[in-house]
Amino acid sequence: MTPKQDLARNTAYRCLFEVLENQGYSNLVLKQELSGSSLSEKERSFVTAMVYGTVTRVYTIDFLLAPYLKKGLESLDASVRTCLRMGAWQVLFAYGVKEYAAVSATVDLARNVCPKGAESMVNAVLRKLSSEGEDALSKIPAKKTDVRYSLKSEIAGCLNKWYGKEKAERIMEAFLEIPDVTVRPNAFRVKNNEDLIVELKNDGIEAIQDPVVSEALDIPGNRMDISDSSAYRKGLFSVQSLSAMLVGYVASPEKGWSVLDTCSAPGGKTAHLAELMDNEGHIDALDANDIRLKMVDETAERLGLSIISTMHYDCTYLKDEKEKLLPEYDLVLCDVPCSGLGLLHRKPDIRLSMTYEKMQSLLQVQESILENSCLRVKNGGCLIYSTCTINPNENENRIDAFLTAHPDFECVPFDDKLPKNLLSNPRLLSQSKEGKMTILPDEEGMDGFFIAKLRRRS
Amino acid sequence: MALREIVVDGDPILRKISRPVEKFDSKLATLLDDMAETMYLDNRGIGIAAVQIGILRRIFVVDVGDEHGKLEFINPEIYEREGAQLYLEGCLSCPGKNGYVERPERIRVRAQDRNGEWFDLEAEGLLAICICHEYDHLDGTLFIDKVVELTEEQIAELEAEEEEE
Repeated sequence: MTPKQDLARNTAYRCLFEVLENQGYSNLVLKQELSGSSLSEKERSFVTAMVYGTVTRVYTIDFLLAPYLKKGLESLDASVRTCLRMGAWQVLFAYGVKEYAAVSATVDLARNVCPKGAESMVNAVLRKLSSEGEDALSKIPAKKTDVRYSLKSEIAGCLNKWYGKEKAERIMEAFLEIPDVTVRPNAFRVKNNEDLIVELKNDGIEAIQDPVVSEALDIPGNRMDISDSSAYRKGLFSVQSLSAMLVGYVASPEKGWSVLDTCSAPGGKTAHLAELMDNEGHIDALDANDIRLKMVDETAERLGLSIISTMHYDCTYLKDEKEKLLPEYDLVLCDVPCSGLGLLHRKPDIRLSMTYEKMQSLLQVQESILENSCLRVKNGGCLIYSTCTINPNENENRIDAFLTAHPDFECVPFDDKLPKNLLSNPRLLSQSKEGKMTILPDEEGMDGFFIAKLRRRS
Repeated sequence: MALREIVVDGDPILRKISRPVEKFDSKLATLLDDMAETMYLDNRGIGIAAVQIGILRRIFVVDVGDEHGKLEFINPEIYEREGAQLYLEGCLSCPGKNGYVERPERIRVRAQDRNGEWFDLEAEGLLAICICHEYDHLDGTLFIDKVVELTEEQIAELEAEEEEE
């Protein structure tokens, strides 16, 4: 027989090991570990908070651990490194975990998962860290915003360059907030948000009207299990961020349109377009990743949308097949692969994986997709370009360069398509009137996002 | 002393009935020492039965970290069971699995030591649980056969009780 295990911390440890040491994706690893586990609701949310929290704060944590490790964090066994990081998160950042409990539970964990003897080192380091308490954080030099806000220094450097130190710091701070989960009712099936609120309540999920986007509902309490609800299986809503919803509103497609979605997986925005078209017309949904493309089919089926046809196609290449793909479309959506820097609070893995070099290589991908896709817009038709990043080079600079090279395209104002409450922000009002707009996370509490609306002159 | 390899669930030997020990010799002493060493490795176990290292004999060793220390049981017989308790069990032979199992609160067990001397023991709490768990191994039963499904409320209640202790 084995001693009673701290199942929650064991689970969090396995997740964090995968994410921090083997480039696993937090959301996928968590889903895999939590599905079919015997953990209670409370334990599940603790595991989720511990995994997302530790990944989010990892650069801060590593900086604060360093003084206690003679040979440095990198020289340690990966299991010890993971225990120290998750222990440090509990000591420094977790709400409602007593420090002594955090230390002793992590030492017990280390005894189970680390090489013999490591638990005494884990014990010593975490005790020193917890005796410093809050002071540990105040020791971070003010100008080290990369450490304070837990970013790779090259990413912090970019944000400073793009937005200036003061604004950049507000943005970095906003990325430490835990974002709300928001859902978009399936307009094709749900005619009244109240009905969905009642339906969710029957599933034990509280939902409230979002104050900014009137179509959206907020789900308080960071519920990751919302897609287990019966309302979800019945196709009554999609989980989507408020920023991503704007694509549908700005595009405002009409019934019967012919639409091309060039990078459609997993299909949230595709489905939104189909719903706004009341499932009348046609949407060609492409994606370069055929596994993720299946998610678009599943989404469409779940939501009861029949006008979406998927096709495995990489829009960075212009192939001969373009002939059959080139009927002229009323609307082309380029929701391009991007650095994801608008989602640092929602997908903490991006803090670990995104580098300056990767960002540079994405510019070429984005340019190719835009160049190839613009050919498919019919005269007078509309092209929407969107990203979930706040890097100007992937956003407004890309669009400016495109417009210079393509005088047959022009920007279209979309201020009349946005939720009224957003327009009280003068910056968003003026940018939406220009037809290209960046959402910044510190302003509306929404995900960082960029959207441009172009029209091909007729 | 030597470390032995642990047999894991799926191996048919874990489902067989162990035979009584007849010879109390140095070979038995070595086996008992090896079982303890294997159990103590990385603090992973608080009990181990001989079948878990592939030996079909009615032997187990437990150490739940209480005042009893290490206890060796040969040809054991649990002859009294009283009350009931739930505990989240795990097993060296079922890595990664845990589940709540109902066991008696208090038991009386009779067994032989490594010299063949009979002794009597009254056990309660975790020690009773662990003895019952190992005792099951001797007849080819694993804790996963006995796991009870609990509601979230029941689990929360059990956890609250433990925190009070």
